[in-house]
Amino acid sequence: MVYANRVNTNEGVGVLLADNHGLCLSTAGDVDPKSSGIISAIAQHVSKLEPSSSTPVICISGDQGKILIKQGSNVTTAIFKPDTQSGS
Amino acid sequence: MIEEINKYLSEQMKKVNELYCLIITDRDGVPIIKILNEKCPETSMKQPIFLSTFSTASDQASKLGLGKNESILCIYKNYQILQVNYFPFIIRYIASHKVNTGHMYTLHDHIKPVIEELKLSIGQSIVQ
Repeated sequence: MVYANRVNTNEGVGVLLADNHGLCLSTAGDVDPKSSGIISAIAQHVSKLEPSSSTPVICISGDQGKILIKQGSNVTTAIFKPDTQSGS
Repeated sequence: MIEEINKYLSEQMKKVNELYCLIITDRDGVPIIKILNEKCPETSMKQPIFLSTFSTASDQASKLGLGKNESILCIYKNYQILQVNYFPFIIRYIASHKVNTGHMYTLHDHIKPVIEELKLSIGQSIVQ
């Protein structure tokens, strides 16, 4: 998979794909598959803020890095990016 | 202690949208802890067979050659029921069909330490 190759070249980065039931479809890199439920729940909740517009990209910033979440029609994608990461 | 556990579980339950009830039973289906809201289907409470069927189903599922069965998720037209084998208990989550299944599994991971405490205090008497 394309994202798996990308993740392999960026240490610390992780990608998670979850379905609409919050079940993990696939992961690559440094990600806990058990977080799929919460990731999907966050995306579902946030999309209710503006139901008329398309689903937003959610950015969660923490001490150790960022998580970017985007809900598609059937799949929710999350990218885990540590703070030390530069570029890409 | 049971009251504290009840309170904690009620708080945790609220975090998952559309989760109607959480029941911890022994292996025979006798409820030990029951937390439910008004949307919980009555049949799940009144029919004793509902609570005891999982043990049989789980035992059968363990014979499929994939190791010991840990959990069974049933999806119906209006409900989702997650039943988890957590010796000596069985933990049941009854929710709407729209519930985020992964979130329900995460909730289970979160409440595991509390169930461990329960296991330490009353688990022995159930096993005996």
